Amino acid sequence: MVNNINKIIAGNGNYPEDYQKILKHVANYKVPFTTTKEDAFNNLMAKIDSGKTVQMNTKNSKHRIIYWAASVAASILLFFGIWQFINYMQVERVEIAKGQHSEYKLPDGSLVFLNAESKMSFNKKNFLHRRTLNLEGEAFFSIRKGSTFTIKTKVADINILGTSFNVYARSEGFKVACVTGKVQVISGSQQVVLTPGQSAVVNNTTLEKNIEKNIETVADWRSGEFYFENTSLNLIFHEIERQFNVTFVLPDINGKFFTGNFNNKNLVEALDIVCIPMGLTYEIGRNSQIFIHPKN
Amino acid sequence: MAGIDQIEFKLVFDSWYNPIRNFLYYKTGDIQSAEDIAQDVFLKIWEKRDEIKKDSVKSLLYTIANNLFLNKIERQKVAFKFEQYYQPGKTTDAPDFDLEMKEFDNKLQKALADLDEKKRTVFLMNRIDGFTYKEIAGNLDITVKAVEKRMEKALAFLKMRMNVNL
Repeated sequence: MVNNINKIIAGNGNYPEDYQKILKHVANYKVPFTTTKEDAFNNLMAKIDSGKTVQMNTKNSKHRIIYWAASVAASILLFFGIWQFINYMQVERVEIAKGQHSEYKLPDGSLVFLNAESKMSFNKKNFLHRRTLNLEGEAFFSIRKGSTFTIKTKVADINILGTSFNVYARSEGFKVACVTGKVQVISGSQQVVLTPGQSAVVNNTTLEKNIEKNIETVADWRSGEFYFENTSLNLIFHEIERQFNVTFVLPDINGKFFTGNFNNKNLVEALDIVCIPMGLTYEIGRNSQIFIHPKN
Repeated sequence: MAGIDQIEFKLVFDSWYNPIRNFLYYKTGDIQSAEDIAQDVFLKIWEKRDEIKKDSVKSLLYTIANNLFLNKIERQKVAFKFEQYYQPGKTTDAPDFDLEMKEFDNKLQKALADLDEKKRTVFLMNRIDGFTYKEIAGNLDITVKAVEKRMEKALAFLKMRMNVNL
């Protein structure tokens, strides 16, 4: 019986006419609707923006007025919803994968060089007016003269007063190094102004100003050269992971520091430069996995 | 990778809003409730968008829809108002045939309303939305065998009801 009827439904098999009539008739049904899909989406966005859900009981006539008021409110929210969505669509997002670098020209003519595994976003519509962008990762900026330029990161906001500088804003740390001009860094209630050769770092939650000894090399990552001075070894391996798109399996290397430079052209060379002086050996496995061992 | 972004959410909405709304209509027979619950389903998906796996969105949508349906609806008599894509009588000039079709249609919509909700839902998902048995099984997290059974019982019930005069 089961097979028989399902053959009928599938359209193959001999079937009585009364079955066929029902099946054909139902297939011709269309579900009624009071709201189009587009309106439903806009209503949903409005509801999301309002941050709360209004429960409506349309069946109870006592609640008709509430329902009417809610409808009016919903229409108003709908405008906000559409507005928010349009704003969302205005946002330009740039994402650079591991093992890649990219140069990006902003609408005002300023240049951004994005390092591997970095994200940047800004509002296309009001960028010329506000000159504000969000950054996660590392980038070198060369800013066209004009009104204040702001870079927002998770740790601090950076206001640029016309200039070039490097921003490092990753989970491992935060550092801004000023190459030319002036840069203002604001983290919470703290702020520092950097002049060429100075850098700002966030230590725990304190914003500190330092002299940057390697200011000439701070943005050399753009040409594939990486300079480190007394830098945590963990951070060095993270940088190699980013530049060569590999993954390390590391022994305990906390408390070890490295000074030196490598370039992003040759993985084995970079590994030798870091591992040999640090007394480590490496073993390249499958799926771009690299095992690091202490030398016995 | 867990999580869907806003663009993906829009894509999910575009492909699944109508099937989910229809699914809720088959259950409730009330388009206003179906649209309200459908909105809440996508609201829930939005709230959980960071935890959701892309390939599980489909069955999650139906699970949420079913739960919200069970929680929200005061059980009431289901009454359908299905419309026709084309009027069956329009191609002929026989008014008798038109009337006959209208009666048939009324009777069928009443029979559908009296059909057990689970069987009806599966039956209409196949007939109206055009989902295959395999797709229905995947959406509702049931076996293809269970879908076949529900289809068979739905059709047997409808045939029985169409053959008796009430």
